[in-house]
Amino acid sequence: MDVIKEFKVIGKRLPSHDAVEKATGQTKYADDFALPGMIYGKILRAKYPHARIKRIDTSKAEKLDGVYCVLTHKDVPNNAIISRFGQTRAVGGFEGVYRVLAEGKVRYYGEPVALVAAETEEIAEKAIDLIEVEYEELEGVFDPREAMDPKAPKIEDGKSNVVARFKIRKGDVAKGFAEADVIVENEYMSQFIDHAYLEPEAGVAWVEDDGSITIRVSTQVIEHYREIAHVLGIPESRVRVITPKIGGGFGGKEDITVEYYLALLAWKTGRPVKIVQTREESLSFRSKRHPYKFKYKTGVKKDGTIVAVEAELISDAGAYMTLSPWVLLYSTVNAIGPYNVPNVKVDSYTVLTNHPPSGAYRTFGAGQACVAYEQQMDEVAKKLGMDPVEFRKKNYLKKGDTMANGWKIPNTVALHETTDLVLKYLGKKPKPSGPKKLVGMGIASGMCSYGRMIFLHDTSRSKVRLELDGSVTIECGVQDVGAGQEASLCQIVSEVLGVPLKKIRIISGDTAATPIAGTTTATRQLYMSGNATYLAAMKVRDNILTKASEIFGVDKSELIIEDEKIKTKDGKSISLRDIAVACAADGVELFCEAQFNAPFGEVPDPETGQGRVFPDFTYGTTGAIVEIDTETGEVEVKKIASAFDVGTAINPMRVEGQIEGGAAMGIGWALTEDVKFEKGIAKAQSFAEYIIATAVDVPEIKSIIVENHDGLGPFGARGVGEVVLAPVPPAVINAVADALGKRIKELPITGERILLALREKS
Amino acid sequence: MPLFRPKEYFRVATVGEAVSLLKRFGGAAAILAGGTDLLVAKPPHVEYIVDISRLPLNYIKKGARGVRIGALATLNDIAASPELREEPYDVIARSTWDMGTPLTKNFATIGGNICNAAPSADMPPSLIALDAEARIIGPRGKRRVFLEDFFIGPKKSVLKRGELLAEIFVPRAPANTKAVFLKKGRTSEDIAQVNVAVRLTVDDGLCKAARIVLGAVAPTPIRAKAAERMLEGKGLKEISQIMVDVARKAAEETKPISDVRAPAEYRRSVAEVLTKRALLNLMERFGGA
Ligand SMILES: Cc1cc2nc3c(=O)[nH]c(=O)nc-3n(C[C@H](O)[C@H](O)[C@H](O)COP(=O)(O)OP(=O)(O)OC[C@H]3O[C@@H](n4cnc5c(N)ncnc54)[C@H](O)[C@@H]3O)c2cc1C
Repeated sequence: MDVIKEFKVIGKRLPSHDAVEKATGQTKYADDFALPGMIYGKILRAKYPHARIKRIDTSKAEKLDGVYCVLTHKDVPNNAIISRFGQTRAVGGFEGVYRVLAEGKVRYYGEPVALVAAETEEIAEKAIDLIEVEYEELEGVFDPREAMDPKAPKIEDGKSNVVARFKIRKGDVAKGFAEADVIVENEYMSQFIDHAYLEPEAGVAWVEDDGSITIRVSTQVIEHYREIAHVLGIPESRVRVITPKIGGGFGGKEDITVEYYLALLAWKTGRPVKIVQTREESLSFRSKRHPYKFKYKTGVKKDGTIVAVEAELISDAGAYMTLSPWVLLYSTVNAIGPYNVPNVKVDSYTVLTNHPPSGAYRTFGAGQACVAYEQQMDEVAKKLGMDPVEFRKKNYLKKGDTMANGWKIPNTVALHETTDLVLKYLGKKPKPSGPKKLVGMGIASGMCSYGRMIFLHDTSRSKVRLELDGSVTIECGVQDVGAGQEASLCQIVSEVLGVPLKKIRIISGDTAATPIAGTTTATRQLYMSGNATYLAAMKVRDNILTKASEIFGVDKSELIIEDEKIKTKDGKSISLRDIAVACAADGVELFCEAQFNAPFGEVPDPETGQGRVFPDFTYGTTGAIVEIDTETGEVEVKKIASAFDVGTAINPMRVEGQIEGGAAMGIGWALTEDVKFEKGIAKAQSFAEYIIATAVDVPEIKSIIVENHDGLGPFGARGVGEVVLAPVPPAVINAVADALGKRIKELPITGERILLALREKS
Repeated sequence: MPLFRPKEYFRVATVGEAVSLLKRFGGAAAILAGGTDLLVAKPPHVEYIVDISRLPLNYIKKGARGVRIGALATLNDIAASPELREEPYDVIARSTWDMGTPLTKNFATIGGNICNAAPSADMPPSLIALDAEARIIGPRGKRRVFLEDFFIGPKKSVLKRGELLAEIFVPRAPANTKAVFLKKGRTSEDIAQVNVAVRLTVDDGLCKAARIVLGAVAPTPIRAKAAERMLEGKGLKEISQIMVDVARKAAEETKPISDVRAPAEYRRSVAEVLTKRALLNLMERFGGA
């Protein structure tokens, strides 16, 4: 990788190539697309959180003028399927059953029961109302701890609600606690949170002349085409998924959303079909961040050395298993946080309930763990009478240490540095701005992996082609969720081939036209597709340098590429255009499709949880200063600073964008966001009830980039997309606790909870 | 939210045309002004839209007898109006500050905010505190109602079939009148968990008139009349001393509900705090504290 010594493009602050297009409303998202003869799909949803379906009568709906088809589970060739998307390798025991349409019973309020396609949306809605479903209501279960009781109602008839459990056993916790001077035990929780992307789930599907199906849909995973083919019972080669620019994903478009419905309706009617979910559907019925219940027990020496941690994690999987075991594994591996603890015992469970299926959400379970372990760190420090920063510093992981899962860390853990930078920016805790005000300062450190779990044997492919005029085309199946997935690849190619960004075009996200690059999830695209693109560009570079070395009669290593030219040390040069023409004439390949393989491994030992699970981690720290109005309970976040070691910032502007976005999201998680399910029904149905921090509520955010250049991504980059969120909620929560002198253990920390806590205290 | 495509959509050019359509369709018709309430949660049974947005009712005029605000004045017009800079009318402009987003406020009208009759609406408390009047036009001509008497329940007003709100009239306030509006939501863009407008008229160092109007704590905006009475006739010094009791009394007069936005108990606590702060603010401005 050190072929290129001085960067011309990497590390530069560059606006994204699609920024203007987006800001001026030119970008064509999933809904901004129509075809002649297009009809509209709608979904009939369950009216109960748990009920047997006694009868479905679609006859009235079918008779309505303008209705093309009405489908129930009987019309789905393979209604119950196992999801294994983007996985090169099948791993038993993890994968959950999805049902395309409810069969036999409904397991959550809003579960899709039937589909309608009609001439207009209004007719489709009317037809939905005309479908008669007779239900026999069943007792529901809405608390994962209650659902673990063998006597609790069963979500999957006859099977335990506990769908996955993990263990970590490192050292000997009994011995650890015996050595401890102080033991602190606490319980924490995290709530249901919505992704709240601007663009709800949407797409259009149509049947091609040859009978194959194309779906243009907003998704983080175009590779779902495999499951769609399986549901329809047709070969994978006959389904094509294209994703346009995505109006936000955050994990909510990692699971399949409307693809099955689109495919089925287009396939049955032969007409192009559009489905756009409403905000209410998205907010009330789609996957949410898993709520967790945590129990932590920490043993420490008087000097602040942690000797043992025991933790229990229970997550609410919702009504279908979907990604819950994976998410739980993330939480389990992250349960101790970035601390060196010799004796660890973690037990984790994910449990079915009658809530909508919980799913992927930025940090994929690592964030919830961080909410718990970082509160616990503060509580332990308090009990010890030690400064929470000093306490953390005493225990931070460092290069060469082993994590709870036994993985020996081979590269930098810059937490001392990130914490010092954050503290330096925050400065001294300010005085309250008036009477009846309290000020608090909080800090939290966190970590999150980048790249998928190594037993999935993850790969990515990308193709780079030098055109005959010296411009470049990249074809890569990345899904651009708005974080600059495309733009980073362009920058990498620009650096390697010396081509200006404006001469590079990228084609992305199309299973029939671009090499499969895997999911835009798990903070993996810069790491995986960045490396694949780098490899492809380097191969093209090598080919043209070889040719140039023939022309100039000098060794390849004597040549440099810059400003669209290959230059020799003594001042001779040839333009990329001329070298491309020369190569083409001689049959030298001007393209390369390269594959990058992540490290491959095995599932960790089920009894001890020992084994490497991830390729690598990114670490960092957030600090927050809050001011509380003790009369109204209002929390004002005054300052946020976040520092992360991102390895190498390919584009610092984009890294800052991620840090700022993570901060805004984290403030909402800590203070306002809550879908609030009551007996399985969401109380928040729109953004009037589901409250997100707005520009006015978010303070100026100081984004601090640390670069130790030893990540696994291109040019030593580490992933940033998810980790930037993890320490924000606990930093804000710890700041509130610092201000109040009391910890509120329920989230979000609303005004009423603060007033209650203050009352209890006095 | 289900899609909303009306059976028919009328964009009217005159008030008379609007009134006759409204009369013809009754409950099946809805007035559309800015649409920021109507199009978000269309009332059931509405099939016809009467778009009044082009009527010449977008004005803010100050005269000798008071300020007239056309029903179609947008919240951003109100925020920026030079006619609403002077005390106590500034409180009307101030009431728009913490509402929604700039985009919403380009559409949202004062008439819509009032006629939507949401208990949490941000414009009514200040207007009621200034004894504003609703000027209504209907099939039988014009009538006037004190805004205080305009609301009869959540989403319910005194408007009858065929009637529309044409104008808000804010009578010229007596000298030495000041008012303040305060709001608490969960975020800056949120709908009020509680809002309050307080107005005092002071003459010769004594409080001649007081209004305490609270929103989002009862089915309609309410006046805390018992608390107001505690203020009337009192000197500024005395008011400063009894402020806490007045605020408590005002909170006692509320009848809040618990909903997704806030529990009733919290609403009552915040009503007390905001009332106290409003009084404190006025005392400072009157130089009595
Ligand atoms: C994002 C967002 C944030 C918001 N935040 C706030 C907030 O913080 N505070 C707040 O108070 N409101 C808020 N609102 C609500 C809304 O913007 C206001 O109530 C607005 O003033 C309504 O005016 P409009 O012209 O859009 O009304 P419309 O939606 O056009 O009408 C509202 C209702 O009044 C009727 N109506 C309108 N004009 C007349 C008339 N002249 N005569 C008779 N009936 C009439 C309509 O038929 C309808 O029933 C918010 C709305 C949104 C979308």
